[in-house]
This record gives sequence, C-alpha cells and structure tokens, in this order.
Amino acid sequence: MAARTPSSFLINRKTLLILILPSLTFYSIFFIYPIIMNVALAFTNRSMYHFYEYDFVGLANFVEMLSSADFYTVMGRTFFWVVCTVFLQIGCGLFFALFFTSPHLKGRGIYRGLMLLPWAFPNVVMILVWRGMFNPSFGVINVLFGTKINWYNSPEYAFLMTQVINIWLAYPFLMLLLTGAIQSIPTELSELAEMFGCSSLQKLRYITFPLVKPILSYGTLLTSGTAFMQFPVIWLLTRGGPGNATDIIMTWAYKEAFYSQRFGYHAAIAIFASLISLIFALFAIKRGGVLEGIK
Amino acid sequence: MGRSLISKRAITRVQAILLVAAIVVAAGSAFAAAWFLAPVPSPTTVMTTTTVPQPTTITTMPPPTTVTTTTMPPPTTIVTTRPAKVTHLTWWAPIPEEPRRQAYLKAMQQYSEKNPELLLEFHHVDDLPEKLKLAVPAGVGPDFIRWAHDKIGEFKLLDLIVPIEDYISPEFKKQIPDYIWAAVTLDGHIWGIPETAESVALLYNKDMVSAPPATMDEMIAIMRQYHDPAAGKYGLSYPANVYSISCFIHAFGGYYYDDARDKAGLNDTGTIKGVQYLFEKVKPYMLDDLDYGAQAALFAEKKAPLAINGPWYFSVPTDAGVNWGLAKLPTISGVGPLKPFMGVQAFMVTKNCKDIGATVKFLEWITSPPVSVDLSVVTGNLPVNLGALEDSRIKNDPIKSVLAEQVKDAIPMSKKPEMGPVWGRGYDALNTIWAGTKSIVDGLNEAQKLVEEDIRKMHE
Repeated sequence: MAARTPSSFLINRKTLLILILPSLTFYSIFFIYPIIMNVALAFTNRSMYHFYEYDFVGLANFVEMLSSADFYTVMGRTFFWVVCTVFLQIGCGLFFALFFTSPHLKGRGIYRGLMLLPWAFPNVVMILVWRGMFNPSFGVINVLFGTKINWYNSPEYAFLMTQVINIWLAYPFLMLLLTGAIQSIPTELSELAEMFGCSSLQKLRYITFPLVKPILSYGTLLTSGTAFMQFPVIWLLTRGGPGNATDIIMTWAYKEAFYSQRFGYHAAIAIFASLISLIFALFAIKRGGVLEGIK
Repeated sequence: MGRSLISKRAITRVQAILLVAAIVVAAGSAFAAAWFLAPVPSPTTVMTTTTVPQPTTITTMPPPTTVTTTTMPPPTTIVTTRPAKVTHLTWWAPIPEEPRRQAYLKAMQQYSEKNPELLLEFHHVDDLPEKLKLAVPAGVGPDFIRWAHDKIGEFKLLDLIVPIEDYISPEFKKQIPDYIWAAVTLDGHIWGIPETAESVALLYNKDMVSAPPATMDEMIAIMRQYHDPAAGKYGLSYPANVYSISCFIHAFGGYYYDDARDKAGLNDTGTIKGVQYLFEKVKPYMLDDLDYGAQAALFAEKKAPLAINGPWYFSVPTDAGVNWGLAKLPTISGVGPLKPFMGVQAFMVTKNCKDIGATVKFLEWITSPPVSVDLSVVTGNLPVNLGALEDSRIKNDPIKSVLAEQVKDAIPMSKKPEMGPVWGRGYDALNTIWAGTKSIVDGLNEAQKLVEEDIRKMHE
C-alpha cells in the first residue's frame, strides 16, 4: 500500500464530489425538492379555496384522515388487495419461472419471450383492452366461459377482475427476476442431489428455494409496494365501484381530495401511504434479507 | 485496493474544474438557446422587440379606449409598414386538428391585415387549466384563452381571468341571447365572450324511424318496437352519465348545483324524480352497460333506432354509413321538455392581458358573422351569435339548426368549483344505482351527504 497524504485523499474526495454534482443537482431538483414540498404541503390547508394564501394546520389533515370511518374500511381492503396480489403474482411468477427453466422443455426461450409480452405493452393501453374483454355485453371473457356475469356491477366479481388484470400485468417482471435467480444456481448442486436420490420436490424444497430466497423477498418487497400504491388498474376499470367496493387507499385518496381539490389533505394521505410502504420495505430488509449480498 | 485504484485514476483538480466549467457552459448555452428560441415570448421580450420608445405598458391606459388607435402617432417618420406601437396578443386553446387551426389562423390574419397595430399569436395548448394556473401568476400567461364556460368559477377564484363587461360594446351585447350570456356570467360579472354552444339532442335512424318522436310516450313506443336484447337490438343508445342524464333531472325541476343559491341538489325532489323516470321508463330499453363505447356503438351499428348524444359523436354514425337525423329531445307529457346541460365555449381574457380593450374588440369580431360562420363551417360547432344563426349556412344546416333550437331549451352547466364534487360523487352514485347495489333514493341521499361534506371541507 502506497502511503497517501491526507491532502491527496481530500483532493480525490473533492474531485468525486464535483463529478457527481451535476446529477446530484438534477436529482435534488426533480426528486428531493418535490418530496420535501409534498411533506410541507401535508401540513397546510392548501386547496382550491386557499390556493395562493394557505395556513399551516399542523396535524389536522392526518387527524381528519384517521378519524374518517371509511379510511379503516379502505385500509383493510387495501391490505387484503396487497396480500392477494403479492401471493398470486409471486406464485404465478415462480411457477412460470420454474416451468420455463425446466431442462426438459424444448424451445423454452421462445415461450419465455411470449410470456414476457404483457410487460412490453403500456399498462394503460392493456388495462383498457382488458376492460373491453370483461365488458358484460360484448366482452370475450363472458363469451369464452359462456357466462353472463356483469363484472362491473358485482363487488366480488369486480374485485376478482381487478386482481386478474393486475396479476397479468405484473407477473412477467417476477418471472424474469426468478428465472435469473434459478438459472444462477450451479447445476452441480442439483446433479449432486440427484446422486443422493432426491426427488424433484425435495430438490425444489432444499436447493432451489433457499437459493432464490433473497431474490424472492426482493420481489415481494417491490410487489407489495406497487400493489399498495396501485392506482391505474382500479381507476381505469371500476373507479373504485360499484359503490366503493373496490376502492383501495390511492383511489379513495383521489376521490376524497381531488373531487374537492384539497391538495394538502391529499398530500397527507400520500405521505401516510408512503410511510406504510416504507415499513413494508424495512421489514423486508430486516427479516427477509433483501439486501443480502449487496454491499 | 479499491481506494488506491480511484486515487491512481482520479483526475487532477484542474481537470475537474475544467470539466465542471465545460458542463456549466454547455448547460448555460442550452438554457440560453431554449430561452431565445422559445415559441412563447414572455412579455419582457415583446417589449424589447417592438422598439417602443417609452415602455409605458398598455394596461395602465384608461380601459375602453384602445391605445392602438387613439394615442398612436401617425407613422410618418417610420419606414416600416407596421406602426410604431404594436400590441402583441397571444392566445391559448386546445385545437389539435390542423383544418380547424388553419381556420382560426386565417381569421387572425384577416384581422391583422385590417388592424396592423395588433400582432396575434395562437398556441395549441393541451391541459390548458393546469398550464394556465402556473403561467398567469408568473406573468407569462397568454392574453386570452378559449375554454368551456364551466371552468369560469375556478379561473375566477384563482384570479386568472378578468371581468370584461365594461369593454363589451352595446351592439355586440344585443347579438348574443341572454341564455348564452347567463353561461358566462358569475357574481354579476361577465367573464367571457361566448363563441359556440353544445348540448345533447336526439339522433334517429331515418331508415328505422320515419319521424322523430315529439313526446316521451312516442319515444317509448318506438323503443319498445325495436327492443330485442336476445337479437342484440335495443331501443336506445344512450351513454348515460351525470352530464347526459341531466335532461331528465332538469325536466322535473331538479338540479345538480345551483350557482345562485350555492346549493347542491343531488337529493332534490326534482332530481330524484328525474332519475326515477330515467330508470322506470328509459332504462328498460337500454343495454345494461354504462360503458360509453358499448352504448355509442349501438346506434352506429344500426342496433338502435334512437340515440341521445352530443356533437362530439355526430361523425361516428355518419362514418358508419347511418342515415340519421337530429331532433330536439322529446317532451314529457304533463311535465315539460327534456332540458340537457349546455356547454359554451368562451374566450376569456386573462389577468396577463396587455390590452383588454383591443382583445375584446378582436373577440367580438371573431365571434360575429361572417367570421364565426366561416369558422363554424370548418369546425362544425354551433355559433351562438344571433346574426350567425340567421346565416343561411347555419339556418339551412339540418344538424346545426336543430342544435340551435335544442340549446334554447338547455341549462348551462354550473360554473363553480363546487360542481367538482358533484360530478365525482354523482358519477359514483349513478354507477352504484345502475348496478342495483343501492336504491335511487339511498344512492342520491348518500351522494348528497358526501358532496356537502366535500364542499364544507373545501371552504375550511
């Protein structure tokens, strides 16, 4: 190790700092500043009627949110929505990843490419296409299954429909993530296991699962975060309806705050939702070993 | 190891400073270029380019007299044809279609040729209200805009537009009917120059219906005759939403939001009766699906003899080859005519306007015949100027003449921001009632409660 004087170390530090300065500046302007402003907004009564002149109202927005009866119903539904989404998306992703990495399957590259298609299309367009497919009068879903279900009028079916579409939109990402993880498992391990007479199920249980676990928890973290903050799927399909049967936190917040153009209140709900998401993330990092292997 | 690698490859202080300087110079020149090439000149650049010797702003002049014509010295010493004092007026509107935009540009050019002291500039702007909210307070907004009248309340509240009743000439005032002036009047002031109006009306398939129904009883008879869901045929194509079902609510004296009394009326007796009438008498002959596309397709595919829809839809059945005609909405016997919501496109003068007098003068010209009729021929919109309505090109138009009659029986949409919650909660309520999850009375009562709560919080 060559001896370095403190001053040369300092210069290098400075050099590095100067070099990241441009991107740091833009990051601050376009990410950090809006976040700070949003937090500040949450403590004001800024709205259509208090647009240029607004007051600091302390925690009033948060108190209002927590004292709303609907809030708890919606939160409960949001958690149910998140749990369903995460389980089904991870399940589908893992199933397809295992299926399409199977060495016995011929032409799996092509299948995998096809399975990734939902990811390649813009979400909003695909949601609108699905909306047409679920249309009760001329949609292909009812024709295909020979049913006469009005998907938009029944709370249960509407929820099911939003779940199906949400899963369809997101599984390719998890599939891709897990495919990578599964393929990075050394083949020697599974060959060795076969030599010891392990069944496929045992190989899955004792080799594949433990080795993809970090990636799996990373996927769970991302999925639960996006599911919690989901807006376009619900809004474009049911707008939270019928009634408020499919409202989750973000669509409810939109109705509460933007029908009456109350920006401060909406900021408060958004921050609260972000905090919940952050708790998910911290939990996943602490317990799930999400950041394992990342130095 | 990593650290020593960095130190070996790290650039020197001089190099770093040079690099940053280069970035700053590049960014600076990019900003400067963007600033000078920007299509929207800020008021300051206008001032410098027009070579006005004394920078007295035009807004400080006494209101009704236009600076450009009265105080301008004769351009004897100036060689250029353009007068020394040029007022540069910019306006914004969402007009993405090329033929329509060309029609407006042509009209603007015509006016500029006659009034060389006025320089007019148009910008097609999407998402106009949001951009206006940022531009006008910053002093870089347009001089005037065109937008639907129902945003007047919000624009007024945010101090974006100015009242213009003092600038409107008495002759022009007489050319616009009172029910149109009502749409742009709020709190005793006039906030816009009305250009065109629209509302829903009754479309009928001429091959299926010989004469359009004049009463609801006749209409129900026609709907019953054709309604056969098993064969994919329906009595009526009607994308029922808060806007389009307003005709039933108004017929029974109901209302959504009363600007004058500052009151929401979702559970008003008239409103409830209107919705009940819709569900009892009309819904049975409709496709059980509120999706706009699903409903709109029925008439275009000749699966329904009648449709209730507005001018934005007229090209759809035409393109689909339907032989259709337009009629006024029918009358409910013993109750009265169906009165739809009316939307008025109006020119509004912003707070940034450099010369309100000259602007209003131009707006009076562009919304009067023959210019407004020329524009109408291209845009397909119905002008509101009485003189324009007398023009043979409007009077003999089978669609526009009917629409002109229909808007006489229409109610202007509410102009206040309090209508926001009514649109939203009303939409949710209509869908809930349609789905059968709640009864009409319960659904509307609940929506009213939510709206009142929203409005209360809005003012807090």
